[in-house]
Amino acid sequence: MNIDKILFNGNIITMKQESERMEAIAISGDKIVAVGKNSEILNLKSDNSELINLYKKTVLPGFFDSHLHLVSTILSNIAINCFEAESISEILELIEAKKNNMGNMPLIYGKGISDFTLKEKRFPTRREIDLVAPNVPVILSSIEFHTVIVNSYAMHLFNIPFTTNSFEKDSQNRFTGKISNRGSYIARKKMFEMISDKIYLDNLDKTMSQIIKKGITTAVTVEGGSLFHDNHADFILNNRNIFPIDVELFYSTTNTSKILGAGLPRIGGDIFLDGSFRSQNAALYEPYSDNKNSTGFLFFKRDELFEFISQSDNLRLQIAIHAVGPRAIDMLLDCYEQAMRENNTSNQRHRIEHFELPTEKQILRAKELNLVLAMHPTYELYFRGKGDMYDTRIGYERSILTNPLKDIIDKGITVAGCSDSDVLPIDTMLGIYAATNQINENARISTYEALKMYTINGAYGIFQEDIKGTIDKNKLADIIVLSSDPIVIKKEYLKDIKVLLTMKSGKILHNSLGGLRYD
Amino acid sequence: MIEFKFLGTYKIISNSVDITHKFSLKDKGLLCYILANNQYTFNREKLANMFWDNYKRESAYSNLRYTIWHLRKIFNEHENDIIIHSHGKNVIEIEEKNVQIDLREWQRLTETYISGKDNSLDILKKISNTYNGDFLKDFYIYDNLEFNDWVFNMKERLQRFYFEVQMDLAKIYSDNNEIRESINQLNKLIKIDPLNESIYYAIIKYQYKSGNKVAAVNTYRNLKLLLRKELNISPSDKIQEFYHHILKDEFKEDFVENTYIPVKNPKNTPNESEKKKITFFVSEDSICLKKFHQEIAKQARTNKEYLIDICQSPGKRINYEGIFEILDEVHDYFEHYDASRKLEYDDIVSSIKSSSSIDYYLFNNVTQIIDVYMKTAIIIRIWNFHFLDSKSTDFISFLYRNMKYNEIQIKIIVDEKWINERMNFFIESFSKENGFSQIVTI
Repeated sequence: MNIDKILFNGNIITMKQESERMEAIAISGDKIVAVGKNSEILNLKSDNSELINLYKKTVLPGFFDSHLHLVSTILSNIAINCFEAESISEILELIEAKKNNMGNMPLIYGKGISDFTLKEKRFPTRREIDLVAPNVPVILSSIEFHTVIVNSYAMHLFNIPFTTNSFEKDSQNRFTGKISNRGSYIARKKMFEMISDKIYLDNLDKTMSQIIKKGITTAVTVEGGSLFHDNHADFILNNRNIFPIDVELFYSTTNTSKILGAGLPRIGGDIFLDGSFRSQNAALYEPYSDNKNSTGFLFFKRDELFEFISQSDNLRLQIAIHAVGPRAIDMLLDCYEQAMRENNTSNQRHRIEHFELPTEKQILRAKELNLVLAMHPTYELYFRGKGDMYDTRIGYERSILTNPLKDIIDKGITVAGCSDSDVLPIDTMLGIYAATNQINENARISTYEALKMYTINGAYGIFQEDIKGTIDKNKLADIIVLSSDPIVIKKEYLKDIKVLLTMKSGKILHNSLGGLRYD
Repeated sequence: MIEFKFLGTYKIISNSVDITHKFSLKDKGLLCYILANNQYTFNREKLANMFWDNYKRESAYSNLRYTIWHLRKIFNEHENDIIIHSHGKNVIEIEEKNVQIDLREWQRLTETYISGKDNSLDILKKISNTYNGDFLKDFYIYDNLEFNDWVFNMKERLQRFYFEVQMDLAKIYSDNNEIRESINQLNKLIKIDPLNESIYYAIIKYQYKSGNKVAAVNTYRNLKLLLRKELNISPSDKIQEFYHHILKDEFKEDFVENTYIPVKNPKNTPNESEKKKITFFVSEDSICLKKFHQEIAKQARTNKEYLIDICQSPGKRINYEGIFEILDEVHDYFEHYDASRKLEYDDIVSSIKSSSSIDYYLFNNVTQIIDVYMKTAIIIRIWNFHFLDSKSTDFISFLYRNMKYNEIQIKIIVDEKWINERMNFFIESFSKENGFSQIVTI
């Protein structure tokens, strides 16, 4: 057998067991053929083997991001980011700048706008946007996607029926440009229909480069559904062969024949059983702290949810459903349990996405059902500070119970780590930092458990643990090299660790080692 | 006489000749604003501000003057009558008697209807027929804030009233037992607002009222799929309750035994039989059934064959429901692959959905759609045959035996846990047919 590459003199964390450390890896083609001490691996070298001296740098299996939105992430690189804007004039400046630099985009898309964070405490109006961009369609989407702001040209092009009753008017009976709820969904769909696959393809390299530099070699992307567009899922399916890393699709549809026709082994992803805390539609048992009249919302009736789960389970599809609040989690657990019992299925590894505010009992039930939980530790970083979103929406006493990773992992449940890009940035080390440094100390997990979330657990989460997730013989050569050892370094510095090299199936995609060292 | 059309695509017609292309965007905008408002005189200052608000005053006036001159020039080329003239420096006037405006006709009819002077079916039909589309559809002028504000408000007002008219019209047609016409009116609204549940509720109600329960159920199920896909919601409680009422009403009737006895077709010549294949996949083991599903699912849609999938979701179907699932699948064919026959297809389906079904009429028409109108080989996949209703089962027999022109393959998955004497009889009746095969696993 010809050995193509040998990485040696490294600190290799195989992720097979916590204590296991190796020194060298031999790679042939796309596979790892041997892992061990320097001397034994170097003995395997062929005449033309590339020898890469790691100089004791730490090596890990390539990261999994187990829940992101790849197409939206591509789009966010060509969109205006309103998230950090502090005033309406800043937003208008961003629009004006983008107007002169649109490339082949047919419209200007802005994401993450929030009237809460703007100093005027309101959204920009249609007329204000018209003044800076009268002849280009402009659509700004709120953080949780339930509201959009459009200019006149976009309003004309989208032609949303007025009978949706989604349009806001001002005191002079003029349309402000703010469209909510049903109209907002329609506007977003129309926007996505205007953006061709070519635009995504033209901007794919930049996004992939960002992902690869974060050490991600498998991206589990959630596409389609009501908040996005089924075109996005089709884009992934049609371009699977050109992605430099593995892109696995969760298609957010309840249409099983679509899934079977596409040859997919899994269904769902962002099928929303409830919403989010931010939108006050995550389903709680007790009212929101800042809205005593609301306990959130369930988007399915129980029998409808069960019908979908039972059918999919019976077809042996792995199911993933979004459930944030405890009322949603309960309904989902009930349906999974009943379906698996009636269909006599057991190892489906059905998933719950988010699982943000579970009770102790719900954690135990998830364990009994052998579910996989796809969780987003980074939410704790962005939204859990004093006075921040969790605190405001659900109050202190409940917010300290969010994302209880330690409790979940101690009970033996597999947790797959996710970024939820482009809601939050793609940054696995940031996710690991978040999981180990949660504000709630009782929820913090060890660095090794956090690393598992983004390696072997990610692989397990989509039935790929036989070929990925650890550094082991006969597994794919998906390997990354880090600037520091995450096990040794102080936890507060985890987010500062850089990925120096990313290898996918034996091919080096990213290298900032300062030139590979050959010996 | 010049004719102006503002409802739908903007058009200006003189002596039956379309002269719209001769006018610039500002020309058309100004004309529309002047003609659409119910006043005969306009102040120049207001018009200048509306269309040239980002110009200096003198330039705006100058532009207005030029535009008026340009309009008169074009009109003079085509008409002997005066359309626009001025009174002094400040006022512009329209000669009403020399213009015909669809919007004015709409306003006249709607005022008559609203005032109660005439609330007959006839006037509603006239109002409906006058509305050829949304106000100034496809027409837009950049950076004319005031004008755009006015257009959006007009558009909203007209669209909302059109909705009311169509709903009223549909109700009257339904009261007169003209269900097909009733649903035609509601379908026009679906084209504008495809996620509006009140429209579907009306359709379901009228279909049910006419005795066509299966069409009502079919409409509900399509609505449910659509709302889930687009908005991630279920139909409203009101619609769901009505749907359950229909189902209760359906299943309280005595079960009607399938009396259609399939016989070997004496005209089933070897040549014809090569065109037909029917395969049953039978098992009571869920893993085997899943493998059957995967095996059948591998079939991708090609240019040579068209896939029709029915009975994918669990749940017993009411009578004829499976046939309606076939019709829904066939709809896509005419929508995407053969638009030339779509009108005929729509016509047949409309008549089916708006009347109570008589078996032979229904079976024959649907067979004709599949065998004659569709110019392609057909593959029908029945994913959960055990849930299919008895009438649709009869139809499958009928279809298989009466297809003459197109090739047909039928793939049927049967969960043996549900099998009964009737199903056994159905399978057995095909066993002597050419093209039959059966895959059974234990």
